[in-house]
Amino acid sequence: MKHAQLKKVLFVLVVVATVASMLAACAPASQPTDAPKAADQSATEAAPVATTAAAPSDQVVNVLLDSHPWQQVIEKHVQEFTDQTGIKVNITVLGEDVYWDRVSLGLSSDTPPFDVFMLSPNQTGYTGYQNNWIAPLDDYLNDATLTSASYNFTDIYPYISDGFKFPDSNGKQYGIPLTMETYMLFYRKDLFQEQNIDVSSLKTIDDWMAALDKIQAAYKDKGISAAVIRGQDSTMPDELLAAVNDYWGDRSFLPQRMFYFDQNWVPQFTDPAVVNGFKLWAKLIDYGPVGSTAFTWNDCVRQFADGKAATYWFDASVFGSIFEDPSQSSVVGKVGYAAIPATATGHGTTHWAWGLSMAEKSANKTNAWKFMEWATSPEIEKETAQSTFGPVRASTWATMSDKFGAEFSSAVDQNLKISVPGYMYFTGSGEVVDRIIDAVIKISQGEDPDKTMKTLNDEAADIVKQNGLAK
Amino acid sequence: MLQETITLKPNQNRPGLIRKRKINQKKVLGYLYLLPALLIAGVIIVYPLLYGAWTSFFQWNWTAGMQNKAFIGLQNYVQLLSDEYFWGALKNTLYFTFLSLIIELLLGLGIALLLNGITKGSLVLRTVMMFPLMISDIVAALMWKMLLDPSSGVINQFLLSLHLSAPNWLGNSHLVIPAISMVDVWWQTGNIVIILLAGLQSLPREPIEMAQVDGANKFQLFIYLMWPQLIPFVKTAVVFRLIDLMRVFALSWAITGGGPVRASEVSQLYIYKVGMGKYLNIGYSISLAFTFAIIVFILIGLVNKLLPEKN
Repeated sequence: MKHAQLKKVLFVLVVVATVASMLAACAPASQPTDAPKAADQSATEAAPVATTAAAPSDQVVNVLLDSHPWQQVIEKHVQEFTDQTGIKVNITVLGEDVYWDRVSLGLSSDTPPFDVFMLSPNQTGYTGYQNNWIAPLDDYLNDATLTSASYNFTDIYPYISDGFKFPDSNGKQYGIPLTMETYMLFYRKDLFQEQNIDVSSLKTIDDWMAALDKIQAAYKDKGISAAVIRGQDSTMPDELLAAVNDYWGDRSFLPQRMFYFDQNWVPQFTDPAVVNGFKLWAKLIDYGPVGSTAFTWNDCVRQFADGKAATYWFDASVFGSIFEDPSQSSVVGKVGYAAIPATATGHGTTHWAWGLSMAEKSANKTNAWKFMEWATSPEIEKETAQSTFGPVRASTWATMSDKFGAEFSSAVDQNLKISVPGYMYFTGSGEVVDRIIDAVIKISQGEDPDKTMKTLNDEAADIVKQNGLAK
Repeated sequence: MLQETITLKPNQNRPGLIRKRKINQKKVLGYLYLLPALLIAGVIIVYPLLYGAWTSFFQWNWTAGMQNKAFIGLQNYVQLLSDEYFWGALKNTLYFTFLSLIIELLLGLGIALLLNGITKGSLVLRTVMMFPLMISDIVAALMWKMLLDPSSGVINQFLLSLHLSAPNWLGNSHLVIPAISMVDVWWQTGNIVIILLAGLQSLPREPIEMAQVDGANKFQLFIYLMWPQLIPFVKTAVVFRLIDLMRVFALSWAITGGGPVRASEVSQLYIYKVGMGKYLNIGYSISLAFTFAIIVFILIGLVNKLLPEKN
């Protein structure tokens, strides 16, 4: 009897514990109460890095970062921030292929697993903004007790920081730029010299294509392709905007819709400039080695850095830091940098930026801002820029352009003169992006470009209609 | 004559009632013991299932703001009827499933028969067969992605060394599903081997020995004696693998991302992309998931019915 009674008592305890734990798990999370104008912060004092006064040592900031040269540098310096402020920083790093949906999942939670995260003003950023998942930062930037005078936000190029102001946001700032990239051309100086091709005489896309034919004939059998470019990479459409802009000319376009939809959401994929941009991209894929249709940016960087490609098109200036690093590249000193050449109808490219943002539901906003202020300060940018080759502050470019090399700095400067922000986001843009990737790969595999672009145009019209954008 | 009168004291039950009460108590206690598991299952399975089913009747796209949720009835289900990408992904899934299943079954049966026929070293060989099962799908996928690389992968380097052509396994829309199927065969044939080997080793030895004495050869032994008794085990293996194969995701996602041009995009990958993976069209993705689940359920039911219980 006693054994049976004991079993019953144990059983009741197990049931109660199970139900209690489930009820606790279902309880609503406490809402973040941290306000930008926290009263317990003391005035800013002079510090080696522009941060405000030290906070209690038991505080922690959780940070989610994409695997990136900027992230690699910041992790080496984060202990300095902890030593200055007493705030511990937990950093989680993810590869880009899993980063975006982790950001969406985390931000949608009532208790995000991170306070600070890397953001780009793409579809993920726009979704975050639409759902009030991302905190506006203006109150922090404008509060002298939270942001030191030496931080100097206006030192950041406006054409980069403006990208982090979403439409209808009344100019509010949702991210602080970290690193900028413009889509340019990398080439192997030594291979072009061997073939007696004077790169300075290559002014247009057609000039370069003729040169690539010569390079392909000379080196393909030696395992070096004339060109590499992103293929079936989920981010390829961002760079493709640069190729389309090169043909677009001086015509206007709508931000967020870029060249693909007019003011009435009528798709423009059959516009000759768009068709030509897609055809150029497909042609460049075809110059690549077997399997190039599946190339991600990682594959392209590896091919070029390993000396297996003569040119690398429409990709991020940030990769210059990899190609000049002896530990990552076998072509150090052999890489030439050029602005995107002109086409018969235009001359343009695009740029893009990573930024640092704060989760609106973070319960730790003041300390999160302290970390953000430190991580994006002029002093820290001088450290990170050495790896990213893409600083966002005018002061950094002014003092460091020698470090990046004259040819690189000149190419980036020329590129930025013809560059527009390349951010596309609207409800349904994810589906349009996938259709764009399909179209490019189909053209590279030999399908009729006009027919393929017509199909894309029709699909895009359906997508915007299904999402309530077009009637 | 003394009459013995049995007088029931107040609250004294007859023995039958005591037994019935004890049985009822045991039943109730049994259900109460199940309660924690039922509560957990209710919270993590039943509630999400019901909530998901309800959500599939809504237009709910997070990119338009989570607060914008509109009831649209069966519109999501009507839309998926004409969704060529959903049906294309289903076609890829079925192609991958049946190709992998047939190869794994034939290969698994052959290996099980071999292992059943040897005594020395069978334990070592069995352990070696199980090695691929010990790694996760994502590890298998990433490993084979490198092996199948058209220019630097070991598979093509080996083929070239034999002066054979080295195909673009993952970039050719006709080869990509067989290539991914090859990965699954390497990874999961061990599962079939385990089940069929257990079946072979459970067969009674006497009929086989008697048949051997009567002069039956190995083929006749297998066809007339072993195979009929092996059918239930084959059926178990088929049903388990069918469910596993239909829900393939990681192999497609990690090896090709669904390319080239969706030639290897499977149902789970498409559903993921429509939902949390990319489009954030949550209402529609749930309707796709439910529809796919029903299709799998029907398929398993059909296979169960078509395969005999025993010959």
